[in-house]
Amino acid sequence: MQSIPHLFGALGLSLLASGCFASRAQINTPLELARFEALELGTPARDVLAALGAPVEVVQLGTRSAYLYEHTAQKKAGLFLFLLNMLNEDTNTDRAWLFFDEADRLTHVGTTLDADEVEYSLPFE
Amino acid sequence: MKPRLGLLALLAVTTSCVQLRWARVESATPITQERYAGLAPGHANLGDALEALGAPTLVRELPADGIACAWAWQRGRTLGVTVSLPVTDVSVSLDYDDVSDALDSVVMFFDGDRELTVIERGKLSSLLARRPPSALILPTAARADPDVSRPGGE
Repeated sequence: MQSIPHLFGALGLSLLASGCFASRAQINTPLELARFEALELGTPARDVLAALGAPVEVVQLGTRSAYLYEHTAQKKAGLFLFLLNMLNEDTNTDRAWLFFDEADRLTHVGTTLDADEVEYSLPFE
Repeated sequence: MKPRLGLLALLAVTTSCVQLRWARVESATPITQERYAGLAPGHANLGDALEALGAPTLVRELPADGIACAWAWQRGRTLGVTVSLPVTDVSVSLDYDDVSDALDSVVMFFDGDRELTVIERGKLSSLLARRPPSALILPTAARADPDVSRPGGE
């Protein structure tokens, strides 16, 4: 019969031993879709740079090139219960790739804006 | 009184020795096959791919002016246990994880005219490791590989 008080005691101790955290991290500023949609194909690279600023990466593609603009958002949450540690990490990005031809004129633009979709959650959610 | 002290001691010891970890790591939105079902090698180009899938995760240069674009995402779950046993002056630790969290991806290859030549789907690390850049733009070699997938073909 003494097992029931012991069980409650263990439960109480496990709650005392618990902890949690939530953290958020961001790299660069969010991208604005309108600024990329305003770019017309054929725009010189220098005008693109003037409009958007410096890219985070420039990739040489033979005689051509591509610029990457990127914003990353991440949210982490954790719950520590006695023996069990639960952690969740969610990362999403705003990303835009701009492709240029041999004459450094814009040929293609690809955008993905997902950084707003990061959320705090736990593994079972 | 003794049982309570014993329980307390047991909790203290157990908490420090054994840890269960349940973790989930997610990044980016998975690319479903439906999203690129309309992109057929030989008929679609880079503009079509960017319109259908958005900005790729990475872009790589290939020989003969070709390029590879990869759209990658991660849906990793880890269930693991860590056991630490202090043994006099030596600390022994065992760790076991049973789930890989490698990046899944869709990789598309384009020729010098930015026409789509091959679509592959799988773990990004293995796709990039299995084929050196010089082999990536050989459609005939890629199409002979059973791992190569095409829209509607998986």
